[in-house]
Amino acid sequence: MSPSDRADDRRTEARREKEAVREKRRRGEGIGWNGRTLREQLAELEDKTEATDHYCGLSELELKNEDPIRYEQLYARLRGDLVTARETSKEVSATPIVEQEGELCYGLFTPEGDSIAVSTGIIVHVHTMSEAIKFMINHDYEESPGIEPGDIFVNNDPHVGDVHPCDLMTIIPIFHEGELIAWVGGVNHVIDTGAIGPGSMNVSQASRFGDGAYYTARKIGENFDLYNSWKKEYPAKTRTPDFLKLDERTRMTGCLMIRHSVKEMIAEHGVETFKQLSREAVEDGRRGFRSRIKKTMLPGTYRGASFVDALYEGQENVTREYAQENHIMHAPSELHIREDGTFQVSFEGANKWGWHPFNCTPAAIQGGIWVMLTQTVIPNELVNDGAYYACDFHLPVGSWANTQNTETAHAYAWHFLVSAWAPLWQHLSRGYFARGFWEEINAGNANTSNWLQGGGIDQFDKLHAVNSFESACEGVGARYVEDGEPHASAVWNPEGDMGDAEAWETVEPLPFLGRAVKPNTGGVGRRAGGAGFESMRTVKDVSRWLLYEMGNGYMTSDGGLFGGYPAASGYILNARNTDLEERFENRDDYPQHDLDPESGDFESKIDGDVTRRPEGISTPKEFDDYDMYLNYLRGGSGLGDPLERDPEDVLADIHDGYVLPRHAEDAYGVIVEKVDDEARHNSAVQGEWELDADATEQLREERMRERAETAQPVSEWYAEERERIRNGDDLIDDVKKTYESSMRMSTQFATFFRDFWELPDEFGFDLSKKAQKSLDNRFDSGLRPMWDSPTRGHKTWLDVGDEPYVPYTWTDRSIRDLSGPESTFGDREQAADDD
Amino acid sequence: MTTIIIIKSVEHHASVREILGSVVDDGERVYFLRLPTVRCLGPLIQEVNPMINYGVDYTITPLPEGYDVSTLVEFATEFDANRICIGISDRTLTGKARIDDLTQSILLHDDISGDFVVGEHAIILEELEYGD
Amino acid sequence: MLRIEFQVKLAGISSHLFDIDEPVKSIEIDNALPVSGDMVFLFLSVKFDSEVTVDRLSEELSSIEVVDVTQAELNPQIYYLGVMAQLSDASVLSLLTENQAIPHRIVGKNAHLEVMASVRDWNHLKEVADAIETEHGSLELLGTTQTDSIGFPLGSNKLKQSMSGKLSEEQLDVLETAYRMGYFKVPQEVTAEEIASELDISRSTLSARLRRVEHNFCALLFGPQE
Repeated sequence: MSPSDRADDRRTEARREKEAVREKRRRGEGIGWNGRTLREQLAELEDKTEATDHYCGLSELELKNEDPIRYEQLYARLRGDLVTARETSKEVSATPIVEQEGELCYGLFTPEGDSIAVSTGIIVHVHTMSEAIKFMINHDYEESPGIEPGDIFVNNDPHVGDVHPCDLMTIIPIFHEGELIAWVGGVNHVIDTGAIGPGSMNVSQASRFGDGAYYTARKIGENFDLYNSWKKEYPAKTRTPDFLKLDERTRMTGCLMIRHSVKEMIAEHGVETFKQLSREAVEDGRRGFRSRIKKTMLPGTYRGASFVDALYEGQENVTREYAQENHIMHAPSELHIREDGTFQVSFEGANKWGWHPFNCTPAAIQGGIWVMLTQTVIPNELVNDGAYYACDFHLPVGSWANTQNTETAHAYAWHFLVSAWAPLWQHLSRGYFARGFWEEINAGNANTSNWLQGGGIDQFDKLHAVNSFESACEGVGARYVEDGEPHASAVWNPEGDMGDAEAWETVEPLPFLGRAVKPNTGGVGRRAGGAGFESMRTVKDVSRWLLYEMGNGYMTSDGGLFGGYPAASGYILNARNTDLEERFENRDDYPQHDLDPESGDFESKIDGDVTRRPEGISTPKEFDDYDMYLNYLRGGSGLGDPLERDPEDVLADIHDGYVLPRHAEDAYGVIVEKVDDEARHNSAVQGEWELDADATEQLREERMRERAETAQPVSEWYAEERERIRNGDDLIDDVKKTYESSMRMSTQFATFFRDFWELPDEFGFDLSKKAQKSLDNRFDSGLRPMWDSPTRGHKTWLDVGDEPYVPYTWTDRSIRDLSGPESTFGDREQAADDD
Repeated sequence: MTTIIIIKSVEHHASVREILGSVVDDGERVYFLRLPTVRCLGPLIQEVNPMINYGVDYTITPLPEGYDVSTLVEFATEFDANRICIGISDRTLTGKARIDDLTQSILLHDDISGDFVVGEHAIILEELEYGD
Repeated sequence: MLRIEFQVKLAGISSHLFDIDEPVKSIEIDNALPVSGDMVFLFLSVKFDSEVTVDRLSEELSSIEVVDVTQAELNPQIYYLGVMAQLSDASVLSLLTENQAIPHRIVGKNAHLEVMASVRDWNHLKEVADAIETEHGSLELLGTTQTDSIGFPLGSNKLKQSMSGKLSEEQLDVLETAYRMGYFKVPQEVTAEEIASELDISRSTLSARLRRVEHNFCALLFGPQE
């Protein structure tokens, strides 16, 4: 059958199905199962799930229990078809973001919007698309604009169900004999969303009105054809219309392939089997998550905090003058694990949102945390919304984690999101350690940056934007039993890849001058964090071309674990008005790398205006031909005492380009001696080194002695720190503003903070006038419920009055209050032992 | 025990709460019968959460457009309903629960009988017996 | 026990009365007493749209054996009639009593007979409704409530009759509104301002009307003021 025949068949079938749906509606029936409306079905499902603690009240997995092999076959087939759809459809796309790096994902959802199975890829959307579907259901889309066979919907609104607006999702319903039996959705990261600056995640906007186009769960087609209005609208709202058109075809291709697979499964096995399978898969996922938590964690409350910088003081081209201020994200995090395997994450104490695009919505946080959990707690194919039903979240309203504000920008919510979950790795790893699951322990993930973005008139004289996804390839955090993988993936896409340089060059007027493993980027430790890498880019054949950086700067978001060190922090390196062209013409040496930023090597090989500064974010700035830009992709954090690392491993790190020889001594206490200048190993580092075992042993003993001598009792350290806080004299305004903001956001946090540091009840930090004004300005902005999809899960997030829904344990409870040291997991919940 | 709750309006929160709270026993089977005058019971279910708050298992079923009382009685007979509850949406000038056409048809139907109780927000027909 | 309200098409004495030339607003059967055989004394309150004279009324009602016609003292549009009629002229009433339902009110207005009665239970309701439908065609149930006592059956409402006849339409309106809004409860559930607002009259008008009502009630109880 030819593709056009198949398309015709599909339309004919849609028309027939549509008539069946309309007949049902004439009879007063809804499009859900057994005549119910979708909203009734969703309401009933949530009620029964919460009441029974089983998805939709399913206490028995009949299909699975009766014929487990058949169940697994059916589920594996569904999942396999999703993966196949992704692998096939990504070839349709013209952006390396999708085609090379794989920033694409598909999900199959129940009529109520719960994911049954997801493909590989950016599985952050395991739940964001769910929220978009639930939004449509709860806002009675069944009545208006109608949900019918052949309809096509789009969403990229993070308040509805997305992380940030550059992730465009296509969602189509699948019908069978007048009933909506499933939804299929596909999402990919597009190059440009039409923001105030070029690229998918612009950084210079103070509010969402500079984020680019938001499409709020809209119907954009019927009978599997896009409306002409849509075809005319969205290409006009981006700098890269052709790429977005192909991205949309990619998503449609995958969705239709998956729809076809579902229809085939129903034809072979019957609709009732499919319905049962979809329900059981979610319940199975829920049980699997609970069961794994019970097996691998100890009940209790795990606490931590993380920070990341977002510095805008002195930045150019910021859309509002008042946005030119520095922000530090504060994410105090608590994980409550209970005896029955329930799992609650609380961010009480998170500080206020800011005039930057790193703010999060509940969907963003939930999607973000999910993608992390799917790589830790559920490292298998059974990733679906079952796990969502096993967890809940507390995201303080008005904080960066849940802004509920019309103005807040969200273009790169990931910056805070990725940084905020740093303690979650540590919570889980501490649990794993206590239960002996050492292979599962992970020190954390890389801060997934830098983001090379920009745009202007490209080498084809066309308006263009770029968004390099080399950032999908970062160092991974160290494990307890192994080093972290170097330049491996990004936490938001475990299938991530750096992409071929040639592929990027076809769509970016930014030729590669060099690409190499970047030394000293992985955190040091007994197990080293995976190293990041770097690409040295120049600019060619452009006009009015802008580029900018985005990522962590002074601060590292992941702190390392069990004595391991964090990964290296960020920095920016650009060179403008260079003599690179002359160097090419004269065949002179030119910088291909910046392997050792302190060496002066880069500066020695180029003349021009070199900018080197220890920050991670810059706003769009103009670049011309032969200017240079370093794209530095971060490493993962380390685990354990670096003095316990095998010296032979440190030697190998030098040859592999992970550690600079001079830092082997500084960081690891390992003495090496260069024995050959010319030898090359598997890295950009030239030379051969040998280990001086005796000198190393001696140095390490000395270091241990120094530690003992300089170590300070906690009580002394506490007293000194307390004085710093009380006086506030040597604290920078940004730090004081951060804590003051958290204390204003949360009386519980304020009480905890004052109690812990034995401060007066009325204690507050003295802020500069500017900082004071900034806080007042944002605290006075008020709340507007942007998240108005009344699901049970949302109730949890928003149900914050005087007392948080999730118990706040910083002040009124401690781990000792749970069930005592003898506590083991009880049998209140008979979870299946089958994850 | 099986109870049918006839829903004429999505505003019937109080009726449903009264029926579930003081008429229906924990663990009973409940059928919400949606009349064509109501497009969707979703908001009502989301508000009341019958299983979370009242521990009842339930099913939502639409009565088709153009139904008559015999359709309803057939439904009740098929599920051997012990009770039929109807929300009171209005009262007469003298404060009596207003009876609409459907309620009258049920009350005066030959094939169904039992006890008739008028509550604060609902009319409850219970101990139902069915004729031939 | 269930108290029910229903309506049927006009029939019997009511339909005769509505047939006269004078425009009738409502007819209520206040009482019925058996005479002999199929005959029955019916005592009625008839409300006209405008004032009519007793002579004119007697003339109009020549087809009915009128025993007595009395005009209400203060409300000249209300007449108390005593008539001798066939049982079939009060068929709803007799069907109720034959089927052991207790009649409370039977009022003809708006082309219907509105009936309030008490029945034992659901089955009893069905029996009564069945009997009435057989005789009168369709019956429309209007409302129901549950009750523990019979309350005031038909004819026991003498006091209401006596009092209402002493009050003007406006006074009755004020009194009923004040009563229904809880003005006479302790503590009061409504203020005089709220009642005045509901009736769209001034506070002083309300006060004057309520005083006149009290005055008339006292006159009924204690006789005219010397």
